[in-house]
This record gives sequence, C-alpha cells and structure tokens, in this order.
Amino acid sequence: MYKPLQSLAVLAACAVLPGAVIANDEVKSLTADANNWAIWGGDYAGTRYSELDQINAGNVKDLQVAWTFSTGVLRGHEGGPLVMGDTMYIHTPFPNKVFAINLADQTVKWSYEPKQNPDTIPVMCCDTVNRGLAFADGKVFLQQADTTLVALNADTGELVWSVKNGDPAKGETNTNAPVVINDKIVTGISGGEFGVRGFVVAYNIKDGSQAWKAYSTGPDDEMLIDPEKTTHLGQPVGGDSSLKTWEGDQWKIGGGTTWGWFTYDPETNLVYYGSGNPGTWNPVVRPGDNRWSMTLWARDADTGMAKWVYQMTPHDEWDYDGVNENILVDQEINGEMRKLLVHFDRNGFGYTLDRVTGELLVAEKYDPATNWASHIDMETGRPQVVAEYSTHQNGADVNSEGICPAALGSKDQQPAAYSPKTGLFYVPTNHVCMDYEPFEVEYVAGQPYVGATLSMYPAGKVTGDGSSNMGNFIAWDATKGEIVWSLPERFSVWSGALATAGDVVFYGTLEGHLKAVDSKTGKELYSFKTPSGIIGNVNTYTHDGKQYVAVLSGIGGWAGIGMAAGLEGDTEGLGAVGAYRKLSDYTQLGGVLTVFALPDGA
Amino acid sequence: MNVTHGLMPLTLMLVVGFGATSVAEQSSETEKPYVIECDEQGACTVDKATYIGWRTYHSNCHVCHAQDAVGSSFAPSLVDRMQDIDHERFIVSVSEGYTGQIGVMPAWKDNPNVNKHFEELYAYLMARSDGVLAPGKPKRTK
Repeated sequence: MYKPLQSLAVLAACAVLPGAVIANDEVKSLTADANNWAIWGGDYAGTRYSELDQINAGNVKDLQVAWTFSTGVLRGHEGGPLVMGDTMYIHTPFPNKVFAINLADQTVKWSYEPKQNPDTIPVMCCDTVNRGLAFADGKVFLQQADTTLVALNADTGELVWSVKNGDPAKGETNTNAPVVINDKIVTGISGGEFGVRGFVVAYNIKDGSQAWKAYSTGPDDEMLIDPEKTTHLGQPVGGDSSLKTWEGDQWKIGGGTTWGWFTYDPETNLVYYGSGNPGTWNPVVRPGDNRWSMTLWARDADTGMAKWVYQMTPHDEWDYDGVNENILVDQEINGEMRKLLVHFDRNGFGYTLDRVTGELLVAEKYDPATNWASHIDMETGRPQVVAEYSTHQNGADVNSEGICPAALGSKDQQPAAYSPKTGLFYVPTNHVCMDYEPFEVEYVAGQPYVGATLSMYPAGKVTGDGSSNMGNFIAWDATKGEIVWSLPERFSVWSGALATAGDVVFYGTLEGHLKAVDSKTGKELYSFKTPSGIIGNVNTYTHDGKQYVAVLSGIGGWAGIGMAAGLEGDTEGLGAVGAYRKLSDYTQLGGVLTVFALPDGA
Repeated sequence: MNVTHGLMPLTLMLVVGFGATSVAEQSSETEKPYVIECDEQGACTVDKATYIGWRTYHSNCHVCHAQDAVGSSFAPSLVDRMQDIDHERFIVSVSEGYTGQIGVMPAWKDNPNVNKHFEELYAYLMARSDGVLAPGKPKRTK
C-alpha cells in the first residue's frame, strides 16, 4: 500500500514537535499567523481573508511587480502559492512539479517532478489542472494527477511516503488540493465524466495508511451514513438512502466525485465538501434522485461518519456539480448569531445553511440570469425546475436551448472570499448560458462517459438585455441572499478571490489582469496585466515585514479550453452588441508566478 | 443554396466497406465525406454524418485535441493534421492509438461510443480541416 521512507530529515522534522501536539494544532497556529498563507483558503474556514493591511485601499494604486517566476509548464494554473516563514511552495498542472522557493533571494531550494504515465492526460476531463498543496508535520502534500498522493519533506523535497488513491485506467484522476485535519490528510477523486464512483478518503499523515473512506453513492456502510443519525434537512435519511434512488446497479458508475475544496470547523470537528455530477450527463437513462450526487456533506473528521447531507440538485440534468467551496462564517440572521456555511453552487443558487445542523436558511440566485429553476422550495430543499429547460423532459437527442447557467455553472471551482469587516462575500462568477443535448452512451471502464453535447455563449443572448459579458465579480450578502454590487467582466472570472483587512479585494481575469477593488464599493483601484490568463487564486503573505500579493497565471481549465476557441460561432445572436472577441486575442498559454508589492519607502 | 457536394452517407459507408484506401484516394481529388449547405447569408447546415462526428469528437477527442479540433499543448491541431494524413492512416490511428512526442492517444477500437463513428469523425474533421466548417456546434440540415 505505501512505502514509508526513513530519512533523517523527516525524523528531525518530527522531533521538533512534542509528541502530544497533533498536526491540527500546527495548521491552526500556522494559519493564525497572517504572515503565512498556510492552507488553500488562508484558514480552515476557507474565508480567503487576510488580516494584513499594509497594502490598502489608499495605496494599492502604487502596487508594483516585485518578482516573477516561470514554472515551465504551459497549461491551466489553478490554486495558489503557500507560504510558511521564509519559503514559498508552488505547484503546476500535469506533470505536477513542486518548487520550494527561498523568499530571501527567490532561488529554488528544491523541486520535485513526479514521473507520471501520460495515459493519465486523456482521462482528465477539463484540462490537467491541479489546485495546490497542503502543509503540516514538516511535510508538503501533493495530490498528483495519476491519483498518487505524496508527502514530501518540506526542507529537502525528498519523498517521505506515497499512496495510490485511485486508478487512471478506470478514469480516476485527481485535481484537488488535499487538506490536513488533525493527524490525517483528506482528499477526493475526479472522474465524473468517466463513470467513476466518488469518494472521500483520509490517510494518516505519518505514514499514508488509510484511516477511513466514504463513497458518495451505494450501501449505507460504504458511504459512512447512519440511517438514523445522518440527516437531510433535519430528518434522518433512513436506510438505503442512495440505493433507492438509482435504477439497478447504476450507482456503481454513478459519479458524485469529490474534486472540489475542503473546509473544516475545529469546534464541531466536521469537514465540509460537495459531490459532483451523476454519470452520465444523459439524465433520461438514470431515473431517480441519484443520491448522493450534487450534495453538500458534513462528516466527522476522525471517523468519516456523515452528520448531515443536503442534495442541491436531485437528478441532475445540466452537469451542475456540487463541489464548490463551503465557506464557514458566523453571522447574524434575523437578529440571531448563527454558525453558517455559505456555498455558491454551479446551479446558480447561493446557499446559506446552519453548518452544525444542515438547516437550510437562504437559497437565492446569485446570477439573475439563472432560469432552469424558478426558486428553491425551502421546506423540501428542492429546486422548482422549469419544464422548458428540463433536458430530461425534452428527451434524448433533443437540443434544449437557452439554459442558464451553462454546465460550467454560475461559478465553478474558483473560490470566493469573505471579509468580516464588511460581512460580504466576494464571488468570481460566470455569466454564460448553454444549449444541452443528451444522447445515449455505453459505459466502458476508463473511457469517457458523458452522453451530452453542449454549446455555451454569453448570458445576454438569453436575457436579451444587450449585454455580452461572460463574467461578473460580485459582492454578496449571504444573510439576505442579495447582490450588493456587481462588476461585469468580459470573460468568466475563473480565479480565486482574496479579501484583506486593507479594505481591498483582489481577483484575476481570463485576459490576465490582476485587479484590486474597494471592498465596500467595488471601485477598481489597480489593474496589471500578467503574462497569461489567470485561473489561479490570489494569496498574500509577508516576508521581512513587507506584504506581498502573489498569483499564478496560466490560461486553461474548463473556461480556458472552452472560451479559447469554440465560442466564436455562437455569438451571432448578440447582433449589434457584437463587441465580443475571442480570448486568444487577449492572452496565450503561460505558467508564471507574479508577486506584487508596494515600492520601498511607500 | 450553395451546396458543397460530397458522398451521401449511405454511399460512403458502402464504399468504405469495400476498401478504404482506394476511396480515400478518390475522394481526396473530387468527393468529400461531408455535405455542407450554406445560404446566401453564410449560415451553414451539415449532414447527419458530420453532426454525429462533431458530437463524437466533443465527447472523447476534445480533451486533448481541444474544442473544434484546434489542438492543444498535448495533441496537434487536427485542422492542420488532417491535410497530412489519408483516410487509411486516420482509421489506423484512431483504432490502434498513437504515441506522440508529448501525449499518448488511446486506441479507440474497443470503445463502442467511438468505433461505431470513425467515418463520421472523419467527415467532421475533414470539414474542419478543409476550412468549410466554422468552430462551434453545427446545425443539422433538416
């Protein structure tokens, strides 16, 4: 299963920590120090908020490029750099290189490049992206595309242990950033377009041995669901809650993959994530609710047992994966402080739940173009599907037109940020609609199992409001379910946002701009065009007492692939607006880290 | 109506059954494996084979060769490449797979979602490569 490699450096790294201290405390203390950026979301709650305020709304206009670094890889660069003390750790898309960079002189301390079978590439649905690293216990953790999870010595880059998390020959791959919780590392699996049966798994960080594994579909014991104690909107889910919602053995190839972000609440010891689309994309051949695809999950981090679930899109007909991040905040609703979970789903609804009980509190459209469902029934939690846009009711080999949002969702993987100073969420969104035509496919292990074609175009073609933008960057009040302000962007905003105590919010654009806006008004304060389109997350840290902002450029991902070439033929409908130009007129492939700072003495 | 004449789907399948090489040689001169009809405004529709080819392509091949067959850092543009290879070479490559300098193309001969549609894929890709089919989802001729 795994090969623990004994190395002196590892023993030394372990020896630094007293025996009683577990990694959880280490991650908590590393993320509590705003000088670091120690986890993908900045903290366990995934707020992507930094207390740093040297760079602020008053001086951000003076920002300059401090240094850059080319990764040498020309594919979509998702995720962002981690910084601990004097070292930055960055990662790349396939072949999944890792660089440890000495911040004092920007030299490479060590690098790691796994040998991965190129057979993995064709079984990655939407570019060979990777969303980043995790750090704890003197180790850097990388979840490789070929599903190998590796622990690297943070000082030397030496392989400490590795474990195979899946099999690319069955269509199983990985793109997600793993997360260290307590003494375990939690990771998921990709392959929803290959009939993969999704799961979440925890490995012990000491040696890579498996601690627990929980599937998204199938028998209760394999999902780590307790029919009496696991709840859906406050009610026990009952026995065989998944099996009853699939025809025959379809759950075995039923998707529900887990390629998104993980967040964690140390108070309740619950880990939160979402599951993806049911297989195939042709809904006609898989009757039933297809539980628990398209579901938010709260699991005990030590045992994996599910505390609650909430299925957002029962019987998906549009590929609205439920994998987007779940941001954990405490806010007042109706005069009462609540422990909230806020989730911007691919399906166009922004959900606010009680993260302890799974109670649904708010579910409203965060892109007004959303039309596939009129609203969410707050009693049953079910979307009220509009028949015209039901690809199942319209049937196989029928092209359902004008569905909003498109399959890539009102938001995809690009994580939002939250500022406790404003109480607002800053959400990078897509403003794209689609035509969707399901068709019959046969399942073959390790082969694409999609069964639908689609074409995507700016939402303005459907709304008829004369707009041609394919993205918006919005501020959202999750206690009310309302947009506070919205900035149109020419293309989908596919980069992770950053909010800071300096009252500035940062995000990147597909054209390659790093932008800074005022957190209260949305007013643009700074913009700089980096070498390639940005689908990475903007992170911040300090070195030698000075604040830096860092982001990876490198166009790609689903947005990059989709927008770069195919849309031209679908824009005739915009008629007079016609200002739309293809993304390749703005940017080309790249793989560059750009680090920003204020000029010395500013 | 401005019609790009080509083999009708039925004819195509019949001739291919008898010997792909000779057909490819013939059709490269005069006849095309696709039928595309365009009106005076330049709006075009495609025959069933080309449509199924587009659908098959964008369910399987686009992962590496990119949308509309324009190519990516993993696999070449088929818009370019189809001009360099004949029908026989095309069928062998998609059947048996191909190891390139960067990527590895899977062998598709055992995948029923693809192996039933090799000729339709050929029609779609030649239409793209010949420059007569724009990017995006084609409309079918009624």
